[in-house]
Amino acid sequence: MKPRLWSWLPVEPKVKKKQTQLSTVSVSKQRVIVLMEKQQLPKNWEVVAGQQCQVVELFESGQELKRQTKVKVQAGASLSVVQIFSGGHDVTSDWEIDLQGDRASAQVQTAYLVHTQEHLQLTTTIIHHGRQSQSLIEAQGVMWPGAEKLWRATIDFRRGCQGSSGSEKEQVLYWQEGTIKQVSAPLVLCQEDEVTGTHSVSAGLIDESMVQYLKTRGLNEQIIKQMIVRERIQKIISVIDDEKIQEQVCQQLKTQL
Amino acid sequence: MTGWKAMMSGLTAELIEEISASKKEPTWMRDFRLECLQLYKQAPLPAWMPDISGLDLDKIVTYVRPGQAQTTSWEQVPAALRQTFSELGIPQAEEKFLAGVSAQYDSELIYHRVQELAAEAGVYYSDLETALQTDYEPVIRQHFMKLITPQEHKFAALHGAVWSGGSFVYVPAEVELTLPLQSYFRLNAKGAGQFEHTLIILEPKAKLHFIEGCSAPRYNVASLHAGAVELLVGAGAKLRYSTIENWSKNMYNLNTKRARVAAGGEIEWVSGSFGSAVTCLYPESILAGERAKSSFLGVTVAGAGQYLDTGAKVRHQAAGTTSVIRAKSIVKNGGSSVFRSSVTASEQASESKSFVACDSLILDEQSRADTLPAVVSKTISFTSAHEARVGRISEETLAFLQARGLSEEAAVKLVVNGFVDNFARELPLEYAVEMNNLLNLEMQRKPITGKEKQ
Repeated sequence: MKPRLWSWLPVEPKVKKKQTQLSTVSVSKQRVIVLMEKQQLPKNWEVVAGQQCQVVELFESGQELKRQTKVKVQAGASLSVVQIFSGGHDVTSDWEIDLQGDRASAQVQTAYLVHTQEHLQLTTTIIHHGRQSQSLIEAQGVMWPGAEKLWRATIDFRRGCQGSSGSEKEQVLYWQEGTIKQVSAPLVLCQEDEVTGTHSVSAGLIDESMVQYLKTRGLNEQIIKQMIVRERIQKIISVIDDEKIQEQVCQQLKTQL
Repeated sequence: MTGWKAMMSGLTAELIEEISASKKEPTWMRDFRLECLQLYKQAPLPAWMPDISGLDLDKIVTYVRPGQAQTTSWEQVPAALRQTFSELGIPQAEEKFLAGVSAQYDSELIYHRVQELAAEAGVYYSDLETALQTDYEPVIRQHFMKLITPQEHKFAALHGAVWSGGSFVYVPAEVELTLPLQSYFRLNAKGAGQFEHTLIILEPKAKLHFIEGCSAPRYNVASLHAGAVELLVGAGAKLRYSTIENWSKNMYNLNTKRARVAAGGEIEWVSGSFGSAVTCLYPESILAGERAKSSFLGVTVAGAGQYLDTGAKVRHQAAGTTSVIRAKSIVKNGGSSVFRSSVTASEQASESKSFVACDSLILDEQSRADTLPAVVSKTISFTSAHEARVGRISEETLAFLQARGLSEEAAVKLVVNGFVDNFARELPLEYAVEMNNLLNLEMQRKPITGKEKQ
């Protein structure tokens, strides 16, 4: 019997009246797919056996946006999703990845900056069917007062996925004191005994003692905070396989900090 | 079934009035029960609940009919349960009481002695019905079902309508009771069982340890338990509330527990869930005053045919509050365990901290363990951390222990005992010993190893 969630936890993403019109991007034979705003992937697609695929999602313009994607990952294939969120009033991204084949793997890694009045909703579900399949759902983020963020990560180990492992982790930094709405719900569903599932979440203000220490080295508080945030987000950016895109993302984030 | 009268007419206002009159309750309580009955009839089942289709809600009246001897014959008690009693070494008289065969278990003397000791320290302790006939009636009226309101969900409304038995404890300011109060010793109090209500009030700087339930399985032909526990912890007061629930495997255990903690106060929940067919139990702490603290330590063991949905909730509502939730689950023989936690921090909860950890041990491939934690924060200066792990006993661990001369079965038992060690340490000795026996017994029923499936 699959457990049902408490009613206050939003199960379905918010439905918005006005949404950006999206055009669909072809996924065939591309190793790195960059999804700009106003673009989306097909609703259902697959990463064929042995293939390696990376999708880089960029959210930056401040528009309302909703994306939903379902992917099947076949034996030995791997899918890497990198989500970079640096602006948007109401952005919803919903990924459902089914690791169907043995030794299939998926990583969904997100870096987000959620500013005042922005609302970000990220939902990722990874289902393990194949044996020795691996998953990672990771988010590194920064929130400003007045921001709203929902991060829902689900790893679902189905019967028969022996030897699989999955991990969910989120680290949220608060830029300064104030009122926000921060929801983290990392779920692990497990029907198989020979698996390892872990999750961890931490959220809090930037460590004051570290800030004080760096101040004594002659840096001002603003620069110190930017350094700490960049260091965290760089971990996610460095996963992008294309250096040009990495550079583009770095520039994009620089203007936001 | 001896002494049972099935009433198919459903739960009626007349029956509620009959219950209230038989208990000689004040008018406000009767009116409250009737109001709850209306709410119960209107309320839908909570959307997030597990499947409880095996529970016949139309027959609830059978469970609450006052004056019925809820006994059965020893032969009707399931053989597996009788064997468990025997293997746990429980005294015969106690076995029969726990199995619902005997209406009396000879703990009355202990109960009265505990009452006397509590009274000497200035603490009032009795069942709720008795307390309603005393000077504490206005206090009960002020607090009864204010923390857990009947509007909350269908079973809270049902509880409000038909509650019976339970404990009332009042600890005056700056009083510390050194011996733990144990509701077990008054299990034979009239009406204790299905819908008991516990109300504990600690005035500022008071201290108390209250123990509810027992680790031996308790059998009852009625299959619904919808109790309620309301705990009010005053400023600087400290309450430890320990529970071991081991209902028989036909039971739907839909219990609601909540504590409200004032400034500088502390609530400690120690909770073990071992039995029942379905359990939904999430003790909640409302940290209403500055620097209030809560901690929850729970163990859940789910075996064949069991669905145990347990966890804890914390609401941080004031500055400088802290909470810790630690939970352990063991699932085996096709059992299902769900751990849920909900930690919310309001805008006032600045400089507050929360930590949640849950570990699940799955002992075979038929079983299921899910963890559903959630953190909701509305203030930036709230620090929360969460970690969890789901998995089985590693081959390396088993191989290491076997290399030290242990059999595979003994190695599994050792690991399981170590897994719940933190919990057992928090229990009084006699409870810890009984719980360990119970755990060993459960493990013996079917040797489980990681290699079995290969």
